[in-house]
Amino acid sequence: MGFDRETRLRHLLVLIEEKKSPFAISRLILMTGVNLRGKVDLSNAGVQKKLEDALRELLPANELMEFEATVEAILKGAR
Amino acid sequence: MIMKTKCGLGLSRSVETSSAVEEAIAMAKQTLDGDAPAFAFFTSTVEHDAEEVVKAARRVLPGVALHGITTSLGVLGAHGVLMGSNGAIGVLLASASEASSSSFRVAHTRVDDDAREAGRVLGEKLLVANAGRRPDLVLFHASPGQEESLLEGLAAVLPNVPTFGGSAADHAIAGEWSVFTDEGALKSAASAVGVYGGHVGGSIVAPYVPTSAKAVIGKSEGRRILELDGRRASDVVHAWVGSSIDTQAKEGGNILAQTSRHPLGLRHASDEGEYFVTLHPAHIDASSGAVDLFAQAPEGSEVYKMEPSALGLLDSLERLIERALSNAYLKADDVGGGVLIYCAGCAGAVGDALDEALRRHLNAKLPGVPILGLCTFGEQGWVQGVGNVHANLAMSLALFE
Repeated sequence: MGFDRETRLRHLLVLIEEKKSPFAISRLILMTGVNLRGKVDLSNAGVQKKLEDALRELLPANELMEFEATVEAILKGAR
Repeated sequence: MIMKTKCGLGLSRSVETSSAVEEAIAMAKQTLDGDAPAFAFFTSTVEHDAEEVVKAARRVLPGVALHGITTSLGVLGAHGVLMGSNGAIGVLLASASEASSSSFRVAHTRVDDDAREAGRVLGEKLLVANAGRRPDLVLFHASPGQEESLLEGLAAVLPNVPTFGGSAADHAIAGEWSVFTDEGALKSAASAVGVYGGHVGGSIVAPYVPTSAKAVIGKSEGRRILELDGRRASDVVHAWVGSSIDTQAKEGGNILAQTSRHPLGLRHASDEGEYFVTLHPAHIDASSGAVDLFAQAPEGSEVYKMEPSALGLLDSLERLIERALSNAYLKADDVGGGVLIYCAGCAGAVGDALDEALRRHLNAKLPGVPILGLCTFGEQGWVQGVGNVHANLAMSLALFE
């Protein structure tokens, strides 16, 4: 069974906080209004779109691709 | 012998709020050489419970006047950007020693519907706190929303007193901000530190220049523009900013990131020249075509499309520091301490590069000086020929001897 958008996003956010800094997460919250430090429903399609759009805006394309590839590798290992 | 004010800067990324406050205060006290602090300027991100911050501060620094606000994104300074997995806390302590060049008094007021009156009360309290003596400079920090009226009220009591500061902030623009006061952590309040004596001064810089594109505000309500040049405000802003806000222009939404490079500018003309107060378009309401800002947009005013200056959002820090030193008639060696305000929208836009820029410019121009830095939702400062202004997407720096 494949992994859904929510799981990928969740892993991506953890990775960004670890590899970049908690500052990157605060920037993401500021730009989206999605409170990632509080209660947030990452299964909501609107929230997912906001975060994905903001990530493309905030991270250089190559950096985002690297993070996404790492998430895919993690999820592949978990299968 | 009068000496420059001993100040101490303390920082912490500890997860637990009480420990973080204790750690930050212990660090700040190290450079006070045992002097009692005249006041404690706290900032924290909203991961920390604001009431807990005040309680811990009260316990560790009994009797010391509290001042401060929550910061967005992290705590800034010569260390760069400090932010932990559960936020960050910073504190600036200034010595109460009579040998210090500057002395300090703290006052606060709650802000209700009549913000002008609240500003007036704040000014009165600063006067009363120091036997009727006018401060030479005011550090001003308030909840976002009514800063223009607060400054107006303050100026009615303290005319021509340079006032520098920034507005309380959170990360999500969700009203989670607080103002730290002796009364506790307040949601709608203003707090001020009067600085008396010594060389003091500051600067406010918005790193933008006007383009030739401009429009008249036909209809506005406070901080919301409804019409520009007879068209829906969102259509004009969309045309100016470009395709990066196509979705928001159609469906509504947050445009903070995109407009941080193309804000609006309100022109002020004076004998000293022209000055543009920058306004940050934050949100589009698709149904009405309204554009929300973090500052007032008076009907009949002309707004300009702004673009980043040659120095840009990072290297303008150098100009900001140079101007603050010059306005205060201070050399770096003679600065006791200071407060740096950097717009959260600018910080969000420049991202990781801010960390390096802060370290480079502060360590080069103000080496060893304790500077507490915050990311705010509105910036205030004194502009020669204009007075105290409330702006967006700006940076300000206040220095005292």
